[in-house]
Amino acid sequence: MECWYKNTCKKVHDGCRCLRYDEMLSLFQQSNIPEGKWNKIELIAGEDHNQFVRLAEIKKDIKSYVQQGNNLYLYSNNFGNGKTSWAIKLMQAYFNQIWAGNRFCRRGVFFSVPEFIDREHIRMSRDDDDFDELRDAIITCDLVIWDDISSIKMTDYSHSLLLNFIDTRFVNKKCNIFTGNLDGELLGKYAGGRLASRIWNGSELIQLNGPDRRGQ
Amino acid sequence: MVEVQILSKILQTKSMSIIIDNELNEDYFNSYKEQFDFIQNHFRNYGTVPDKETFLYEFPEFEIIDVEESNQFMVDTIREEYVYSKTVPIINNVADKMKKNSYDAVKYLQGQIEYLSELVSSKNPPLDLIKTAQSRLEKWEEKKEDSSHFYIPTGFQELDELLGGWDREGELAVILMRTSQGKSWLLQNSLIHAWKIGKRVGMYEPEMSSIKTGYRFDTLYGHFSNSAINKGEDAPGYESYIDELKNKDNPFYLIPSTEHLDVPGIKKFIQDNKIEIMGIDGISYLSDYRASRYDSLSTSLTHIAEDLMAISIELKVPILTVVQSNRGDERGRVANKFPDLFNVRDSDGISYNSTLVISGYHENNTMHLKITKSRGSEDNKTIVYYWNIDKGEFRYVPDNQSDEEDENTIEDVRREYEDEEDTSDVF
Repeated sequence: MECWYKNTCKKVHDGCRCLRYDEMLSLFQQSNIPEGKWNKIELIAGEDHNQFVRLAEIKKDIKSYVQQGNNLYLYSNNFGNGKTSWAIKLMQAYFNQIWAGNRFCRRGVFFSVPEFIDREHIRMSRDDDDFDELRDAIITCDLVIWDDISSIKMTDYSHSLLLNFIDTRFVNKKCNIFTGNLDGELLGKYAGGRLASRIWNGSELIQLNGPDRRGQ
Repeated sequence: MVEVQILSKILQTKSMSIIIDNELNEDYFNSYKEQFDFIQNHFRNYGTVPDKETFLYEFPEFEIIDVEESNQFMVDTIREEYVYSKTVPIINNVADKMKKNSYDAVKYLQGQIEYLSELVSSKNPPLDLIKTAQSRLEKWEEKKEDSSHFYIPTGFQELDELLGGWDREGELAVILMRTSQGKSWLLQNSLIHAWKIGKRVGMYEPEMSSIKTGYRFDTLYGHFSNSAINKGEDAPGYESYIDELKNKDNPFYLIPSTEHLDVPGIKKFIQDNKIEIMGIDGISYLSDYRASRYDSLSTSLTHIAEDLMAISIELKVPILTVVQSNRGDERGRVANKFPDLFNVRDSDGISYNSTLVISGYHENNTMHLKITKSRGSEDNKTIVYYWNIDKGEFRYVPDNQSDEEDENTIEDVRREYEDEEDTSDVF
């Protein structure tokens, strides 16, 4: 079995089966991060050098950042310049820092917000045990990525549902990473004033300005 | 008459329970001592009561009668007769002495009073916890000094920290899991550890052939790939390992799967082979020698558990057994993965009579264990082992989310995997 984790783990394996591998595999499998995004990726900083340096600082000390219940909003007017990749990088870094002694628990969950809302709607008419477990984890797990928070206009129901989850996490000082394309004013317009206020006023804001680098 | 009733009852039910439970012996059978000895010797030698034909062949004059009387009545009657038989000679002696010298007669009677009192006193006099306080203190001091006389280590350091080990003063430990979760591996690993530290080990393995059990031994002890040695594939060092192993003196006795045993059979095996720790891979494979034909499976398993506990106390040998849990716990969520006491399959009499229940499950190459019941240690503690089944290796996984986070152990794990902080400034 080829070890998907070999670019990160420096241990020389005999057959790539070890506690670290299994813990990391379990963390990734339970995280809902799409499998195609598990591998380590390198990003080009360009005009976002200062922002990347700050993100690298967070990444380096991600365990404390998460445990202190900090929130981060990564946003940009442009698409494809690394917001989602950075969010996943931070979650990967968190997993890398807590795998020892994790005992195969779920510690982080990734949600693409449009997909989350879709599955919520489907769930109303059809059982979805996997999604139920992910949904339960929103309240309990250390870190949640809310990807593309404002990419679609939400119904009142979706809005109140999302607000409820995010509000609960803020109240319980649980760390969130949001990504989106809207700044404060537009965020309020699309996500609603209360939700926008939680995100915009309750998070560290990092704006990326680089161009679309998908495919580079 | 009552002697004939009791002997007939034993032969009819093929159960010695009336004798064992009430601690009757040959002294109670004045008229049928020979017949009683024959039954008892047969039971000791073969683990079963002789059948009627065998018995009648030996004692053709004996008439086996139908017994409808209750056990309690027969036991009370034979005890009364026993007291009578022991008292009459004393009273006769007193009468004889009285004819010659009444002082001597009274003096003789006074000397017999204690014996006569014992005869009529309760079979098991109550123990005064207040008067025996000093002996508890002494035992505690002895344990503090050196606990190895009281416990046999489990082979899992973290379990030992919680339990002290398997209690040699009487332990019926139950390993409770769903099917195919690793109960037998866990049992055998613990027995092997006891063997490694020099204990005489016995194991009843009704589920597997002795060769497969032997290969498991080699995997758990020598860490040879279980699939390789089972399939006859390359297993470097296996020949020299076997050469070394066969020169070891300490035995690890296995009762093969072809033997069908009951608890007296287990007891005899322990006594004959001077076993210090006994493992039974499946309590439900044992026969209930006390069973009557109206007993349910649940009642039989309760009897078996009671009897195993009793022989553990009597012989001072910890008995470890595995029990399958029912499907009630399969609801998929983490909190419910550990079987609970009410999940014990077929009889809650098993957990009721055990001193210790360790429940567990196997997932993601890890064995999760929880102490579900214990006498004298903390319940509901969870311990996790990373388990390489093929190599028979169990490695403790620390818990970085508990209140008592073990930073040192976690750091040891990180270091082992050469895990360093990522200081790369490549984005």
